[in-house]
Amino acid sequence: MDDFEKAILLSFDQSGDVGAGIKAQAEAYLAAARASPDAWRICLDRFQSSGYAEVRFWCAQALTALAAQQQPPLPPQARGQLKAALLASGTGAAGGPPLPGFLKNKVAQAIVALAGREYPDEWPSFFQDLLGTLGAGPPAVDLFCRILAAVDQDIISLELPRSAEEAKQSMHFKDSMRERALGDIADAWCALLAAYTAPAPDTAAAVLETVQRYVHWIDIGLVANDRFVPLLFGALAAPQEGLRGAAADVLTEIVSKRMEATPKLTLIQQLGVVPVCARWQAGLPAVDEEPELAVKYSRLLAALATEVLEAWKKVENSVLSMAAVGLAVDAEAAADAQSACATASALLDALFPAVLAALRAGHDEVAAAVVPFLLSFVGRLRALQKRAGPDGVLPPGQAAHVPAILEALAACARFPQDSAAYEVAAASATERVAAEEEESAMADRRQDLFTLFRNAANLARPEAYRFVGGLLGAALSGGGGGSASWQDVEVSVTLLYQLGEGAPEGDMRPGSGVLAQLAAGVMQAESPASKHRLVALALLETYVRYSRVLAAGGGAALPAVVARFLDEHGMGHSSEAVSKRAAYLFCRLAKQLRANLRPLLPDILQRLQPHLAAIAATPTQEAPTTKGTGVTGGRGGAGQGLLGAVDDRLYAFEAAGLLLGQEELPAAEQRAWVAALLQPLVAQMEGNLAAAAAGGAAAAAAAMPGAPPPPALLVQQALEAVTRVGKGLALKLCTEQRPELGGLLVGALQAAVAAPRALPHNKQLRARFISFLHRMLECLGATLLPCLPPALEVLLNAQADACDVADVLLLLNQLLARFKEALAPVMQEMVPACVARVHTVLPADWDWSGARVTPAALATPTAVAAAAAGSPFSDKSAAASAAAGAGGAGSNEDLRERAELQRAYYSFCHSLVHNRLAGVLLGAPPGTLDAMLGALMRGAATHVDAGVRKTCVQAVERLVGEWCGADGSEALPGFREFAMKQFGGEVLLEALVAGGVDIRDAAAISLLTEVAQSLQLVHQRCGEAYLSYLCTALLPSMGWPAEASQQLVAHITGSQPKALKDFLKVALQQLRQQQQQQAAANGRR
Amino acid sequence: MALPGQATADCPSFKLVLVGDGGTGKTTFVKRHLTGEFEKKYEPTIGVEVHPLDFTTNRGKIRFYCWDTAGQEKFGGLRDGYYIHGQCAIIMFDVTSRLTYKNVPTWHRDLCRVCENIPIVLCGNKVDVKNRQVKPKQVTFHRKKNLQYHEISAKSNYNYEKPFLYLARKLVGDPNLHFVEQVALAPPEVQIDLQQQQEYEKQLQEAANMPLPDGDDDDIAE
Repeated sequence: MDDFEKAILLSFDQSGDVGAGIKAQAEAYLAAARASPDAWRICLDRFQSSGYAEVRFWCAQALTALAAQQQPPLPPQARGQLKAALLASGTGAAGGPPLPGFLKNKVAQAIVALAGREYPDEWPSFFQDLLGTLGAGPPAVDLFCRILAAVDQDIISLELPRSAEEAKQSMHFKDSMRERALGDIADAWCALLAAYTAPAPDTAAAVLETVQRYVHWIDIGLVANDRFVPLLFGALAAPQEGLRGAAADVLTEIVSKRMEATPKLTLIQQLGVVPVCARWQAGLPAVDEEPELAVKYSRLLAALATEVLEAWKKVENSVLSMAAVGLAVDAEAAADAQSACATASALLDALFPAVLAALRAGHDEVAAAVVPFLLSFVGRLRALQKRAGPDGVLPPGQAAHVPAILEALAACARFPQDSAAYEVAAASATERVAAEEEESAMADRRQDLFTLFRNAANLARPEAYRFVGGLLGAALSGGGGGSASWQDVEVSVTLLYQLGEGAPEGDMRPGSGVLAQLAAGVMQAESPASKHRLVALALLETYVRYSRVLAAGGGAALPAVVARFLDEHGMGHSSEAVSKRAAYLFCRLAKQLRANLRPLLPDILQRLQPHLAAIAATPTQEAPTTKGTGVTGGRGGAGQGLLGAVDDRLYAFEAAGLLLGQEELPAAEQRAWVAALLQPLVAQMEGNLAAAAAGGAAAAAAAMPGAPPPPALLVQQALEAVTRVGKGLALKLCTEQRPELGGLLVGALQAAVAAPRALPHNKQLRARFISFLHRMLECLGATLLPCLPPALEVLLNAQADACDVADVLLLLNQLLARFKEALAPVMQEMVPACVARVHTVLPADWDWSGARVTPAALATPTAVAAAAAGSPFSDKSAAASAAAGAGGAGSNEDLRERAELQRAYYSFCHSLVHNRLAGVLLGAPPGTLDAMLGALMRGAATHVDAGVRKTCVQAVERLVGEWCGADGSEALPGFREFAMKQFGGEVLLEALVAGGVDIRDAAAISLLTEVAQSLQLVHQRCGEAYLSYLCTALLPSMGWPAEASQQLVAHITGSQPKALKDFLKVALQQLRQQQQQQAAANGRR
Repeated sequence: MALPGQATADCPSFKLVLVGDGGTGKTTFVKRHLTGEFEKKYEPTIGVEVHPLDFTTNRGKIRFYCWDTAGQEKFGGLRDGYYIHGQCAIIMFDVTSRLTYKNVPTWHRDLCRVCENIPIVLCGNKVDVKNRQVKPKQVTFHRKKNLQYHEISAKSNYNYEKPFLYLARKLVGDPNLHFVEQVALAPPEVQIDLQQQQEYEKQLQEAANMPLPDGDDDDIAE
């Protein structure tokens, strides 16, 4: 091994054992070698002589780069030597052991790189030179094929992204090939096929793979001729799979070649491929042994059928459109068109059975290949039907295809006889995985198949009904000893379900409708297969889709079907997938057939009861680890769990609520039933609270499979169950018609309140409790209000963090929007507690300006204070806390949450005073008003978000309006003074000038409008005193010119708010400029 | 096959070549596998990392030596030289970038020239991102070339095992092979919406900096 080889091997090393320094040295050495004028000679020499594949690969790679290089180009003599040597190596003429495939490919690439620059001008005989080597036997043919592939890949194919220059070269190269070489190449293909099909099928297959690349752009006559086509069919009939597949691919390319319609039909006829494919109607060859080959056959079949159909459509359409524009179609053209259509029709009729055989094969890819053709075929039939008029009937020849299509689709959509889908439970992990994969593959496959099925059925509904009816009859009639498999039952029931989608009203009508009759049959049938997981699911879905049938005839079929939802075919099924779905579907059934189910209620409740008890007792364990992970995420991950965990089985409680919430039920019974429903749930909450509080998180963490569920989850499950029951109990029922039911819910509420009180840290429970409150509000309306304060206080407990408090404020806002003044007693109690809690979470040193939580500030916490600077409210503590934050006092997430709380707080204050509840503040303990007002004033003066400022200004403005009388009265001592100086002066004018608001912002304009209104309001309430304060004290201290002050006063006293706003805008801009100039001047000094 | 100089694995092992445009998430993808990350050999000068990724199947353990060709797009190096003796491959593109999908045929061509007839999985990465540019319907390349296609999200571990399962089945020759143990993966990266929010704020900021139409701000203000 010399240095050169060593350097290459070192650079290839990936073991990590070669030091970085040595590697760098090796690469520098190689870079120098490649740059030397002799590089091509060195590389060629090593390529021919080295014993290391890596070295030879590297050299071939370098030679390819040199061959393609524009500057400096290789000297002509070098190129000549290189060509000869590469061809000799590649064809094996140079002797030595045969090259491995990847080196042969590299040789081909290098040769094509040379040809790319030289053909046709400098190397006109490129292809003839190649053809001249073919006599050397299979290695030479192999190189020839690889070179043609590389020509396609590196120069011609537009599948790879190419530059404009390269695209031009591609065109030029193709044109030159057409002129000079393709005829010879096609002759060579024929000769090679003739020579090698029998003795060297792999070589023949390689030739066909090459042909396939070229068919789409060469003259079709070069391959569709009397010499080549027989050879092609010879290959198609060969025993070797590879050769047959390659022949099928070439045929597919020929058939798919872009051509006019009539010549295309002629071509297909001349090829004689249709009779060959038509023979596959008994089943595609090789579908079991060599599915990959069968896929190729299926693609050929689909291409043929599609091309014939498209040609047919084109011919028809051209005649139609000529007629439509009033052009006469001469007799000869008409005859031609007619004959073309007849040809197409005959070809298609011949192919159709084979196409359906491909569908029936039940292999995913084989079937998928023909589905697009069938979609477009059915689309054409629909167009024909429309063309025939409103009640259009299909031509009989075409209509005959529909039942055949339906039949094949049903066969394709059926689970295989040896299906991996287990009946009730998987015996092993292997079985479970196999079943899951089969079922998900089947679900994917069925998507297209069912679309096709519905489209086809729409063409001929009576036939479709007859067909599905036949399937159902065969599958279900067997009774106890029937021979029908679960696969038959499942697919026939599922197809009935599909037919119900968008079916005409008449067909669905119970009694007379055909579909309804079929459904009724299913509802009455007993099948031994009906306990199979997949059959049970199909049946339940179908019952619900055809629930109208159940309601008909006095609900005669109803008891039996309802029983199925409740017994081991439904909620009692051992498969969780079935029992869960059954709960959901039963709820939908209960919604649709509420009244019809009423007579059965005692029985239903009795059967439902054990399921309800089981669901309540077995909350789904939310696995702390999601699939594929070993570690839980941070806070965000926990938050996702809060929303993601919906237990569908709880729909059973909703169903019970819906059935019981009917006003037609006798009052006493109804009350007893609802009580019996709620009582165990309440008991479950109460009974587990103590254990939950004691066990805490430890119990949850230690939960093992099989162990009883943690008490906290039991509490939560019961709470959620009560919420679901509530969904069925309407407001009017609980408050007016049957207030005693409302009383029961209030009782449940009182028990529920204890849950978050005992488990204040449990976020999930909190979230459930809040949604429980929402539900109770829907059921009880205003009657709930007296019960609210204890519930809300629980949510505002000492552990409540920023998010929690914000949630409560949001809830209060929703309550305010709905109940307005009626909420006064609740607010009397809640406001002091809320305000106190908010100010604990947002302490005195909290930065009310919001500057710290702008994205920029969160990214670089040190660059903060600027935004808050300059205003009278930007106290030192804010800056101090900002500095502390920079030192790592609180995480960004925590800051963001608290900022959200601040916003929620402001909007709470806003809706409180705007719902005529400001009086609550006067009655509250003195600290409450001070704290709230302080927060509002800071927000109004300093917040970086103009929208937030506006909210604050509006809130205070409202208070001024309510509490300062124009007659000089004030609701509390000192408020008038406050309104004039702090609000009317510092907030409305001083803070605005101080900055923090970008005047160009739309939100800022809206803030200015609010400020203008407020200024006028303060003047209206405080009169001359306010104006004189402005002119004598405030404005001079702010450095306003006297003229501007007078204008301001004039606008406040005499203008529309809009004019005042416009004035403020201009004045503000001027003042800002002035301040900036002054600051700049100060800086210079 | 084991790497030269590396202790031979005590189980069947295969060289897996991972290719695709820069920035499509190849490195993130391999690094999700914690054992591989722990044992990898890093070669900073060249930019290729070889990660041994182990999976436990119902037929025992198998190992993929995953050659992450990160950085090759820019820094030259051996390019397709790394593919030599590759036994299977993953071609990765980024569903949020059309260009990376457009370049898939080039990667496929280069790969197939060096490794003839190996199983290949095409992976569309970053499907967790809302604003995807390459819709599932537009992904057709795999059908033409008989490749397996999987949509994945390396950041959230979505479908992480799928490509490996397909390759393992092809290489072992058992269509029913399955993984029996969960692979230790790095936790899904929690999507704190801060980033999204920063983006919104940025857009808002830009909008705010646009001058309003002159004198016509009444519509907005009132």
